[in-house]
Amino acid sequence: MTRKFAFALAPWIFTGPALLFAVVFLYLPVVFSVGLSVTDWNFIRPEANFVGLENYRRIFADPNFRDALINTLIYCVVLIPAQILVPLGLAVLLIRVRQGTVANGYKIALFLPTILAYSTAGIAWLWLFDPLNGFFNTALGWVGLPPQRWHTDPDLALWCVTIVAFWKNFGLNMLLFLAALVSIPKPILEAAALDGARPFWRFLTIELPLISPTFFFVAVTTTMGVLDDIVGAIDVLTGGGPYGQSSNILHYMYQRGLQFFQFGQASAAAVLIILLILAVTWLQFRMFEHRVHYES
Amino acid sequence: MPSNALTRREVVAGAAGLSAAALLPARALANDTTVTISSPWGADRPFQQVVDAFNAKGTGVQVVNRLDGDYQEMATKALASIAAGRPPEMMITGWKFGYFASRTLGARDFNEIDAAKAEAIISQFKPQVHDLVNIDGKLIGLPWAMSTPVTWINMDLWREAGLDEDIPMDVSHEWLMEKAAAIEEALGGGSHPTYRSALDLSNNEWTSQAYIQNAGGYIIHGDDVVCDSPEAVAGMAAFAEPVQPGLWKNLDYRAQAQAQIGGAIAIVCTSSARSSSLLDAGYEFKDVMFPSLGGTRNMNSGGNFLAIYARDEELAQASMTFLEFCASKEGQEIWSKVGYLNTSVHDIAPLPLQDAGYAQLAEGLTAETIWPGERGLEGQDVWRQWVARVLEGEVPAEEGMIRAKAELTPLIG
Amino acid sequence: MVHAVLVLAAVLSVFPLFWMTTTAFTPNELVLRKTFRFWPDEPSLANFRTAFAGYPVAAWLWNSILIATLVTVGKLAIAVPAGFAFAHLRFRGREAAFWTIVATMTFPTIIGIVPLYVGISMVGWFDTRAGVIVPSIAYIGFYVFFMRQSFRTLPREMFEAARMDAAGPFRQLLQIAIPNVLPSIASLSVISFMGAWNIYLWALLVLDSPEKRTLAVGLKAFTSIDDHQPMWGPMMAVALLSALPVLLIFAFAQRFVMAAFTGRVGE
Repeated sequence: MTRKFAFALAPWIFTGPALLFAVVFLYLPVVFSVGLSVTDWNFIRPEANFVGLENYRRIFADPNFRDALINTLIYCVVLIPAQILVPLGLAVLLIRVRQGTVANGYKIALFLPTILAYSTAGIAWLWLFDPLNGFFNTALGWVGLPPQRWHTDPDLALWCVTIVAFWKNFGLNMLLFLAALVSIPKPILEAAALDGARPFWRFLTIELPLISPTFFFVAVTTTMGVLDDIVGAIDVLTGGGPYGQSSNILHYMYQRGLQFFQFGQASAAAVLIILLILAVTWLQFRMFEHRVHYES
Repeated sequence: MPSNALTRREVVAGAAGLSAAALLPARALANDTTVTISSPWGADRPFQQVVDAFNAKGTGVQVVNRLDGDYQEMATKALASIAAGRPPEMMITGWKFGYFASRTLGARDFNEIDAAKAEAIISQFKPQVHDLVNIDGKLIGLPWAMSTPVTWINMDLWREAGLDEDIPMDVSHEWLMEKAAAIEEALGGGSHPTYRSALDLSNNEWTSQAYIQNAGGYIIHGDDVVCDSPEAVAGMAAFAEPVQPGLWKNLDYRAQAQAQIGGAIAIVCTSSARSSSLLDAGYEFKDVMFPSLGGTRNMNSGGNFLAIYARDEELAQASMTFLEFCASKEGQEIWSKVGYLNTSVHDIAPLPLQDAGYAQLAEGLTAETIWPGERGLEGQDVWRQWVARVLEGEVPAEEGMIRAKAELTPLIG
Repeated sequence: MVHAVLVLAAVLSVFPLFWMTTTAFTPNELVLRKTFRFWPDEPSLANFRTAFAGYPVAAWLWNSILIATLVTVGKLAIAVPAGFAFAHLRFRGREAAFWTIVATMTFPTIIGIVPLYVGISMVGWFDTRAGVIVPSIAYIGFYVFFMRQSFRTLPREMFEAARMDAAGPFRQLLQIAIPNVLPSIASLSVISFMGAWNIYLWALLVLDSPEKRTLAVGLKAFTSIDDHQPMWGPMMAVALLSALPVLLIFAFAQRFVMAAFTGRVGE
């Protein structure tokens, strides 16, 4: 093999497998979903018919889909700010603790939930929520409050999922913010301190702009994550119930497709989710593009 | 860090050893034909004893029992594996999914596998139950499990509330409401440290059907959804009545089962087959009949059949061998411990806590709602959701039944 | 004040795990008797014995280890050369190829689950480990991005010198590039292993036979027990077992985990 030949071929040998995997297992399924969404095929019966937009019409007529859409919005409105602001606050506090065992202890404790499987995390929480023997109802009893139904209560189910999803995900954002804050050069902060600015003001005007690329990254990944990561929590804790009160659109898609084998409807939901993600991503880039302050 | 290295090595070695131990027994019997049964029962339940007794016979067929969740979860799982071409050889299927099993899952016709054996097997069961497993002209199951919803009373809580221990076998809805109110009065008010409730009529598709039928209505009649008839609406309203005054603190079915077995609910209306779980729950229970409405009762049955899904003929034959054992007197005697009413022609002594079930069986039972069409699984799900919405007070009974009908009709057509 | 808030946050964060551990070592009869102890008077392994006796927990453990390892190896085998090519080789379509891969980071994990399930079934991979492993390798957007960043930190001169020595691209990758980014590879290995250890929904769908399930999937069987005494004790024992390996790895390789998540290797 001549060297010239090797250099011409090498890029594709090196990147080919990655491209192949991405295309076969991530892009193609999405393309197939678009196709499936206009048929009535479901894998059990061999025949498939073109049904136009019938599947889209059906899911829009389904009260569970509407509930799932509204829930998706609630999850976003609550969890996105919570998963950005609370970790940011914790990171700001952590950076004020002197490096050492104590600081490390905090970091590990706060990061632990992030590394667990959703089934593990979900089961740990199911046990806390358990109406009969669970810790929460017992603790409510200690302070004289009536027991609750927690994840089986239509009004509370969504909030139980929210808590677990938050608990499972805040640690990562906290680390990201912490890393960004650590990297701010000391002299800049010292100069600001000499100006006599109050800490909170200093944070808003100096530190926050300096970590804005991280802030942008966290905002984007958190928005994606709220749609995605929560599905595991929903599945283990409530299965989307009671009567769809804690489902989101991704879990709705999963249920339509693999619980009831309505592939057309599931694929229609998948297409809508993709469109939604494209729209949100575009919006975020537009919003943050001009505000992000890049260090170099 | 030598100590860390050691720990890690130990963990790995330990894991390897453990996994080898787990895999060995499965390999040791490699010469036998192995059939898997997807079931709702774990290894610690009496069904496992039926399997073990059969395996001990050395027929050349080994049966493996696999816990896959409740009827709905099993049907869902089966759908995914059947479509993928790897069905479980056998599956416990709820009566209510009879059409679904036949039309969507493709349950095998016993007669097609081996007509002579099929006849020998089905003749071990009472003629009345044959219809339940004859679907679309095919014999698709072993009709071995029948139950009916009855009323379970936790006698410890009953006494604690100071109620009369002389409880009639035939009880009414009014009687139930009155006693539940008395229990709530005596035991409620936050005196119990954790979750508890006076009454629970079961938040599912089955007991709501019983209430609707006792009121003179039906969910589905023939091919029509009729859950919005005045009788059905009245039944549903009566069913939801205990929720409003707080006598029934609605839980999902699984949490309810655990709460009852944990001694936290005084009166529960649910399957007669719960007897086996309640017998070793550590509390004293008494069974009486399901509450009548206006003096009448038109009770439904429920339960499951054992169906064959194996596409491979050798595996299908092997499955029939197991069914023969299940239908025999020996098999039925072990099986009866699961808690179902005896549907076989064999003379099997009733177990404790089965009086109410047999009393209702003597009065005659209708079938539970067998969801028609290919989308029966969804049909049941939709119905359950509307039952739950009515129970939660999200919609009044009448509106709930009208909307349930609107959603169900296209699904079962 | 700072410490008060942090201590409170840390306690809330760890409590579900602590409670899981307590329950795992408390005999199930006591768990159900509402006698609350923050630590059992007589810690017992009874729950572990119950779980191992009733379910193929050892096989689950083995499957989890195997699947997590193979997914990790697969991901690295693909992402490392790709990252190197995107960082140091010039070729037509480089940017397009790079963004094609990296854009998959925005895909929800289960968005293609229906066609994927059909595909896996058609090639006979339903209820096989391969069915879980191979599609899971495809989520390499972050890995490729991360490896490109790592390789970029290596000076260009390093490779130009190698080229003088007549080293082809394969030798450059294996002998020069990889040895210099080992901490990055370690970081990715750790987070990949932890991620694959926790694969849940997809494995739940694909793995049917009990002895083929992973711990994350097997756990689900415990929540499906009807009409019976709740098995909270054994359930927590298995949950603890499923958490333990990732907790241990995290404890040993904390530096690499943090580095991978924050993109700060080698500082």
